[in-house]
Amino acid sequence: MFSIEFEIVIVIILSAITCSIPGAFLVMRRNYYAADTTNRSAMLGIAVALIFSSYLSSPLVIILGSITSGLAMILIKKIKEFTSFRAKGLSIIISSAFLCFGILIAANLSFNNTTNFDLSIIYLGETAFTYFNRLRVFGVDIGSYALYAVSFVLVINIILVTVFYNEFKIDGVDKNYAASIEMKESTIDYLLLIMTSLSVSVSFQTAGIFMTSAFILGPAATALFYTKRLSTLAFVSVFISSVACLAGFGIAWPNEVSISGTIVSFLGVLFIVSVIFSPEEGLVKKYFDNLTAQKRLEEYIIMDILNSEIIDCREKHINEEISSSLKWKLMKVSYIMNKLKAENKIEIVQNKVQLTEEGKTILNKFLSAQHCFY
Amino acid sequence: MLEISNSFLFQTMLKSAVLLGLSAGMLGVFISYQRRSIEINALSAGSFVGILILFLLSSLGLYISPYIFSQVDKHIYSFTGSILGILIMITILNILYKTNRLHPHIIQSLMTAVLLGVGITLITSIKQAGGALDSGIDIYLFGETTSLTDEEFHFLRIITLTVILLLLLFFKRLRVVVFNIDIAKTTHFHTMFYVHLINVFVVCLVALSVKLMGVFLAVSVFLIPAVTARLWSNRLFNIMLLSGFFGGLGGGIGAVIAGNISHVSSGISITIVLAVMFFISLLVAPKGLLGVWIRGRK
Amino acid sequence: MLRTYSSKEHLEQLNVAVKIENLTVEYNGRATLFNINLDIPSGVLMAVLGPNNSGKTTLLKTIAGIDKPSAGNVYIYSRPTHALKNDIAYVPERNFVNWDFPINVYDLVLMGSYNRLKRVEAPDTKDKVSAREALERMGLDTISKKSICDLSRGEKHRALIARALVQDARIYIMDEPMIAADEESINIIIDVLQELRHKKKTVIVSHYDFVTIPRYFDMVSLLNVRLIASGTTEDVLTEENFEKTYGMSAGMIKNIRLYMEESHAGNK
Repeated sequence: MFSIEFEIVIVIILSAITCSIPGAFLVMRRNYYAADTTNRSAMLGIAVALIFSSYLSSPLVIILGSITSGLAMILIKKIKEFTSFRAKGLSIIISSAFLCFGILIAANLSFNNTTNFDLSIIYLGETAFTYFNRLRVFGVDIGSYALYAVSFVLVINIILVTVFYNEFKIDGVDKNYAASIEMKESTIDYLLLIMTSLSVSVSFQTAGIFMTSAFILGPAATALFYTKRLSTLAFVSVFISSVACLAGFGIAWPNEVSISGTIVSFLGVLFIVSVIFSPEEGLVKKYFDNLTAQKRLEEYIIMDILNSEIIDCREKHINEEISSSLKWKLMKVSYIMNKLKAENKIEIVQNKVQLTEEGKTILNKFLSAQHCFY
Repeated sequence: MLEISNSFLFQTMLKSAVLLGLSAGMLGVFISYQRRSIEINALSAGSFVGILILFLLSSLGLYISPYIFSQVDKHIYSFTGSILGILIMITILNILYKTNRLHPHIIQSLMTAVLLGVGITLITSIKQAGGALDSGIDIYLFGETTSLTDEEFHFLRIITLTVILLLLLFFKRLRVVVFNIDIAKTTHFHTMFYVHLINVFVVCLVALSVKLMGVFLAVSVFLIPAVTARLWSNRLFNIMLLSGFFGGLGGGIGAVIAGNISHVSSGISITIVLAVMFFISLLVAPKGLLGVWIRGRK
Repeated sequence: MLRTYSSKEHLEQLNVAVKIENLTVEYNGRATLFNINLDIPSGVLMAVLGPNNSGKTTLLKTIAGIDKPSAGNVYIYSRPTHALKNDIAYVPERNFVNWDFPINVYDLVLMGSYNRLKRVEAPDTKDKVSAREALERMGLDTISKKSICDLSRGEKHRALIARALVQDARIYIMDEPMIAADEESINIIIDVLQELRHKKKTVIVSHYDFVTIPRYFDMVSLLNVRLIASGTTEDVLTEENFEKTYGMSAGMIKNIRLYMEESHAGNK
């Protein structure tokens, strides 16, 4: 129907969007371990499903995969209730146990007939393979199976989010308020669980069960650098994941390297770039902000010392005096003193260094802003 | 069905799995109380990328210094890559924690997945460039104890035994440091020395664990014994010994299973044994289900 | 019998235990403490009072040598902090301690003696005796084998203080040792504080409840990023100083405190 590249790109983008929608809510709700756990524990369901069916994209795989990942999350909750362990540690144990049992089953029991099947497709994903599993209606080829499966889950996700949008919003913004209007937190938990596990088990063939967590967390974590509102967060993360997919595919396809690996690396690059250069919270901006704030603070410290007259304010040894009492280098002190003099904030009256009227007003303004009331 | 054969290869595998389990289990207790156990995942992914980058460089003919590595074989070279990768990863993670308002766990999960993606891209591009990896990708993902050479085994023995010895010797001070760093800083001993000591142990053991257990399951040999031991005891020293015992036992049984059944990497079998031990403990241990039930009846 | 130093002259006679000179601590270009000058005489009970985020914990940590100052000096018995760590016993705030840690009360208290030990030395009988004494003093001897995660809030405070007592330092620094504790624990802690003063130790405590301060403490410092006032409780605890520190009068704070405690109890 379409060209092979076009269809693969569509499948990738759709699965990335499917993953990034629950991801935005997971990051917002500070539910840290869900992404990793669902990914890894889906392996058990996939392996069991592969005993009965030999196709990676059959409905049985999606259903069993999401059931086991949901089961893992519920198991973690139950164990957490009667022991003192933290959820993240438990999630690693449970998910690696599920993963290992899954691999054991897949390696020894599944694929009875197809002996040369490479298991690493499940771990790492191979997007191009999705193209060869076609869906036929009355003998007519209507596109690859994965396309329909992914869009089905995407539609489910979008419907769930639009129907329960208010609940998500209240829950993400204010937990106390949510509790006060007697909204059950667990309903949102289970909704998110359903969304995440469905998205994971449908998109593992594009990204593989390990890299799906980057599909889930990456766009949302990057989007948090640009917006804080929930609705925009979802849209920005969808945008970021599509950009990463297009760019990754564009690089990987001609060079014949792993498509999912390139996309995930690209997501990582976007994240790191946002960490460093984001206009509001980027490292570069923070660094320069801190530098100027620090410089200003240093000026105020010296002005306050001169104002309170704790030390001997005669002009002769003033720099040494300040430098020893602050434990700063003499160079730094004399630099700041010269700057203050040039800015007309301090003056010398009868061999004594003191603040000018202008400096005093500036200092008082600063000091009154330093209070921290609750 | 299972038998312990006398072959040299099998003996090496068994010994190295037991030693790694023992030392990683003991160290895992300290790591888990520093709340850093998840970091191991990201570190192992970093070591994976480090190995591959050094491999890529060497396949391109860019040995850093051929004279250093001419005597020892390329396994030591890949070990160097692994350690370098972990060190760079620790630095990057620390920078990200400090400068970011995202929770550390999110950063760790994300960086693990991203580095894995980088690694996969590197592997495929190595294949494209015509350089053949010396073994399948499974070895990197899930580990293979039989891949250890004689020198590597020697190296592993020295490292693990040193770690065990130093943990036992410095147990008291490490306990203070792990319990509360503020209290430790007001005492006369050098706190940062012990913090860095744990870091050095982590770097060495993660590099070994990636070799034996694979990228994804490297964390399990640190975390699962520590959590299992916590179910049995309430005192740190006992927990440390128990955790080492569980780790060593799991490593041993896992290695025997992996040696006898084909299709199973050592990482997978060791993790399965450790997980089974955890679930059994969860049922019968004093702080597990049975204990809670008995206490509830009283 | 509670007794406080009431006169200013008495305070001036004592020599200085902690001398803080132009101390500034900044974080990301924002001052947490700004230009603090404070002399703490030897052998007094001093309270540090201030609203949330006013830098109380930072001040205590800087005195203890845990945080490094950005500017200024801290001298303890006229020596810089990093030179004599054995002279300070630090009690961290309850929330900053990992209570899931697998250790029992006795071992926690015995940790105080590690200060005197060499690298691989075990505590001897003398240390064990002093740990027992500290446990008895804090009323914890019956539950000394209990794991620390099973303790009540007040018992947790007492266990941390017992550890500091074993350390036998000259200066005790305690971060909120009485917050949300039960009546019995507060009484024991106050008794111990008085006893420490009789032994001529200097005790610096950050405290939330200004109503009880005049009864328990000799000196008080009002802190809100800058040092508002410091001195005897009578001199410092005035309406004007409260206005400066909290931005509102003492009566209003009292009402807010009551409201918060009620809602806190409701949440439990």
